[in-house]
Amino acid sequence: MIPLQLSEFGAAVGVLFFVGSIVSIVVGGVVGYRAFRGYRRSRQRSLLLFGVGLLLLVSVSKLVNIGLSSTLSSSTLIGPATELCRLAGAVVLTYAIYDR
Amino acid sequence: MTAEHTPTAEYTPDDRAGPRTHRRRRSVGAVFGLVFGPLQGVSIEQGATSPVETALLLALAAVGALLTYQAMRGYRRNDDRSMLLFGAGLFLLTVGHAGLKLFLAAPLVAADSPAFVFAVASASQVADIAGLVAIFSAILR
Repeated sequence: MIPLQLSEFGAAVGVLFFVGSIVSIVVGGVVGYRAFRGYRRSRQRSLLLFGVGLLLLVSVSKLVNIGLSSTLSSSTLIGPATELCRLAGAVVLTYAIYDR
Repeated sequence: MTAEHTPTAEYTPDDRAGPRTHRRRRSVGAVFGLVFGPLQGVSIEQGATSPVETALLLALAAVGALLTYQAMRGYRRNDDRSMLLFGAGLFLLTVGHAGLKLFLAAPLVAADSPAFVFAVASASQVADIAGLVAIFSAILR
């Protein structure tokens, strides 16, 4: 972890990270919502898998990251848990592409 | 002249000496507490902390390469612009993220200039947002 001095610059970096995370969580949620809406309309299983996979890849992994880093005291579990979520999302996306 | 105040969540001293030294930036101070609490694990500064994480990142890159290859094949077959955008988004979100975490953490720790640190450490966020925007615009077509 870089030693973030509590200066204006460190604050700017921190705020930018937080805003970037929130933006990617929200946009990922919007894309997943559209995928679910398309699934409900057309009943194509690949759309459902695509939505779940994308949500896991982006939004859930970032939420897991933020949640674990604010609740856990030891930081050894945060990285692997986040990457595990991303990997699960990517695997679900391959199921979505190979499904029919 | 103000004494050397350590910035806390409540009070951040104004850098400039003079009549405005006691201006309290409460909003920035609140952001400190909010941001440095939850943000310890978010950025890529830590890099791949353990072999488990390295293995997971490599697996993510492999699956992402497969996905991108399939998307590129679909683009070449159908000449569909949205498949190209889709493949680019998936590439950024999987291979880009894994590559940034694996290869950019080392020069980040060794870097001195804050601008470089800022640019590299925000690269993962930018890559995620760019990948999402690409996939979103691919869906919109």
